[in-house]
Amino acid sequence: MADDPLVAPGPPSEEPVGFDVTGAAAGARRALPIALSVCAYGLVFGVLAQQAQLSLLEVLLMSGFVFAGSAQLIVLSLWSMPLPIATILLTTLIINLRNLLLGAAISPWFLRIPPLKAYLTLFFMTDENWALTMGEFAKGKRNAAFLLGSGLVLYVAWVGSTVVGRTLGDVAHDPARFGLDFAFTAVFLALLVGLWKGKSDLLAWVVAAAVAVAAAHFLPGKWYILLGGVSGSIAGVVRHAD
Amino acid sequence: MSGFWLMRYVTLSTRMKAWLGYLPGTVIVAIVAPTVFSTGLAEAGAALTTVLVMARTRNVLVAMIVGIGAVWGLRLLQASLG
Repeated sequence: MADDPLVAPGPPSEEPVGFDVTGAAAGARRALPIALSVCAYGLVFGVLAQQAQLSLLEVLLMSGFVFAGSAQLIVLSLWSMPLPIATILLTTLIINLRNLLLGAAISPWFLRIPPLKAYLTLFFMTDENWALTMGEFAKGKRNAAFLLGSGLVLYVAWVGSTVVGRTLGDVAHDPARFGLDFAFTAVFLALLVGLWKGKSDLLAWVVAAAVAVAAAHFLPGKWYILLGGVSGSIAGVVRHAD
Repeated sequence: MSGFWLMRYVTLSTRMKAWLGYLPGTVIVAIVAPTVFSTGLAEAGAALTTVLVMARTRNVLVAMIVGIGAVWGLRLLQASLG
């Protein structure tokens, strides 16, 4: 950045700092393009987390509480069993010291709003919306809710995409986990409902099912399909020749 | 294709036609039967669900999606009870 944001002047002491919905909405809107790249980042994190065998719940908790994308990725690369706790803690600490500095820089404005709102908002601070917000303040805007609005959008994008990424990791590895292996059977069953012509099909289909089940038990490969299909049809014809 | 070629030269008896008429249904029944009846309660339950949804909605896509959801849910149930 051209001017060092860490030494940007605070607002004149008499000037009030606002905090309302318009500021939040403005922040939210400005954060949307960034949210897209956060999603891409989050999806990658989610998939990597699955490979590192983090459970979905663990991913959710991590994303929800930590909300520090770069920290999470680095921790992930260190995630092996047994967990190198000291290394992980140290790395997270260093990365979040940066957050501390950012928080300090933004504090002149945030000291002017009720503490509860300040802390709540700062939870959602990241590099990106910090930069956006500092930019807004430099332009003379005075609505601290800007950080909250943009932060919420990014938060939802981050948590959402890490969870989706984690789920995708599962599906890619093991379709049966979500019942996707049942897809063909389901479609065939639905087609059968369409083909059903009433009572005349009953015997044929029952014979087909019985023969298929038995044949699948005793014969290798797909012979059961042929046997079941043929015997069922024969049964149907025989029945109606009577 | 060879079946079609054959049919240009062969006249089918009524019985043969009837037999061929049954075939689509019985073949598909044969394909799904082992999965539906020999795999487990989750699959059987999901199969029933699929059939009922199809009968009601006449929509293959919806029936498939519900069937997949049903087998997933029933398997979870089965795992936690078993």
